[in-house]
Amino acid sequence: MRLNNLRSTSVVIALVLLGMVSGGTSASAQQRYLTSLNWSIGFPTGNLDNYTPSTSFSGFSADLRFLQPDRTFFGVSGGWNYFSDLLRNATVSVENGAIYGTQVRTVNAIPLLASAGMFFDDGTSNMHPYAAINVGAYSVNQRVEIGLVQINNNNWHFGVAPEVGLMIDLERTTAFNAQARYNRALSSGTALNGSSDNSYGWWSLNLGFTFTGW
Amino acid sequence: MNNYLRTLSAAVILTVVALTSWSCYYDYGLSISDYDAVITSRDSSVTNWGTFKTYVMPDSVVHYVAPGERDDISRAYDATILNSIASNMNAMGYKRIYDTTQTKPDVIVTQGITSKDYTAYYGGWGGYWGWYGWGGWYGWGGYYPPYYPVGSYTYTQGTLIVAMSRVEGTKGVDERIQSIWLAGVAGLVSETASSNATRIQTLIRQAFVQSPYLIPETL
Repeated sequence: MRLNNLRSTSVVIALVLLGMVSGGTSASAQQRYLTSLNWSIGFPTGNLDNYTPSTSFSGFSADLRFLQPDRTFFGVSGGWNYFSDLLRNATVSVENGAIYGTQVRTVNAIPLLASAGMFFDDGTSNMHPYAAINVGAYSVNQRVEIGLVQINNNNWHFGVAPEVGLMIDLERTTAFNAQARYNRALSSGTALNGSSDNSYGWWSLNLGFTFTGW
Repeated sequence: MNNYLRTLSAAVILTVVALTSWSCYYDYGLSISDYDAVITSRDSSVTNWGTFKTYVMPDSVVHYVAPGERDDISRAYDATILNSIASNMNAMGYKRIYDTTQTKPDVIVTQGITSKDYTAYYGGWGGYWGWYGWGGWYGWGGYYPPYYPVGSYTYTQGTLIVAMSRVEGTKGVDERIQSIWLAGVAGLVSETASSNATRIQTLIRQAFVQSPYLIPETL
């Protein structure tokens, strides 16, 4: 049932974002803003790489950013990354014991971030490199299924995510967006294996479109 | 043209997001044996692991059945369970004691199984956001969730518990004794009897493999 709740949540988010996209040009006549919706590919590092080492192709990110005349911008960013791996015939040690079985390991990470950054061009060309820093909260669900048992570990983390990106104009109000971001969710509790370090880190390559509005 | 591009881009994005959301949960093609699990646990207060060298074991498997319920757990695998536990204990270096009036064993090994049937429902998405095709609105208001069961399946989970308890310190037959080692072997019951027997043997062996502290010390 959790699975279906997540699916329906994804659909609602997608519809809301689509609404943002389609309503981009009809908003305020004074404020220029950038709305990006991207497919997010995740590359785990550190603790996350130890737990679910496979590259994740399941995810998306969305940015809403307000562009200032001096080419700086601020806004909000959100998204979702899903990491999963299968370990057959694995034995894990637990306190005073061990557990053996096929493990399905997953991590669901939802960042909710505030962003600030700047473009490095003067806006006259059709290519717009930029850099930004994102700061905020990550909701992370770490889960392992062994046999018919499912163990969940949910935590909120404070996190930072520096990023660099490039927008390439497709036409006046639409651009292709490529973005590399390093997500760092700082430790905030206990990991499933009992470790006091439950920090997570992953690179995300976000590919999508940016729509501008005034 | 601008509107066309914008719409086309939005459609592509929505498609990607939707496909991503729907396809992200891999099932990995798991088979019945992928649901097998072995959990072992030991008493942390025991400091003399390795000093236990002899054991006694009953020649039957206890069926854990709730009071008043009928015992419909099959006895087909009892011999497999008993032989497998004994052979693993012997392989680790323990000596089995049959006549406890002559020799007092160090530990007692007992085993019991339980079985339970489960019914799982799987569902689908209905095409009735906002309207319920054959019944209209639900009487007490609100939308009926767009998710409904379209089928079900039943599975049986069997669990074997192997317990090791110290003889020393046990004073009488009515006294509750605390186990110093527990192994739980759980899995789905297959329709193929030979498959079940093989899995039982493999999983019991695994319980001992992942508990190397049980090996008696040699002089």
